[in-house]
Amino acid sequence: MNQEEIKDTIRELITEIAEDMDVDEESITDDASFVEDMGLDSMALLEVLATMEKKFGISIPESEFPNITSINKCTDTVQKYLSEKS
Amino acid sequence: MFNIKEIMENVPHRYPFLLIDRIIDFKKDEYVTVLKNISINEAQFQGHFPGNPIFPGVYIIENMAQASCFLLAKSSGGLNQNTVYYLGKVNKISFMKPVTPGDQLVTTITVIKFLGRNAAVQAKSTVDGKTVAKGELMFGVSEES
Repeated sequence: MNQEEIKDTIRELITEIAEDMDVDEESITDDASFVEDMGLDSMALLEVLATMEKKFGISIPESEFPNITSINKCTDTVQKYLSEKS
Repeated sequence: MFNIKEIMENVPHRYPFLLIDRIIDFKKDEYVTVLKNISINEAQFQGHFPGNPIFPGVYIIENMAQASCFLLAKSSGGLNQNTVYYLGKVNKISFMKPVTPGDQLVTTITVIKFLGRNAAVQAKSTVDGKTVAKGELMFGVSEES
């Protein structure tokens, strides 16, 4: 899976979670901060983390949580753990 | 494994809305399996539905939520008066078969992921070994002063 495919998958899942929380679609960009720009709460971030683990078949430790702040940063984190897996 | 007294030490729910009778299995921070006996004497069957008693789907979700509350509270050393466990999200719940009086509803909650004290859990309810409902719940924990 290349970086663009990973990003597309993450963008899709963030859009889905953000829609559930009535987040304005225009605020969802690759660089937007989940908390500051999109207003996601800790429960939504937990869902982001759990869904990414399931979708990509990886385990992301809680220490990575500070890096789960935007679509771009999530992509980097997922890529790191996918490459560790292979 | 745990009786009703121990259940009430770990969930704040009471009559007529305590929807767990017994804990069958439990592993700290990992899973819990709870049992609820479904009886025709329960008030909801008067209206859901007259002459055709079906245990409401939202009560199955509530049973899953209370089981999750037990798992989280028991795993962190029991209920604390200032701690509130709240249901944050219900995802992809499916109901496969109706649950009726006489059934024993057995629900297993398995932790998918913790983030701090918040938890994402997988829930599955069965009757006689057959799945009647399943889905995912998100739980939040907050401290009230």
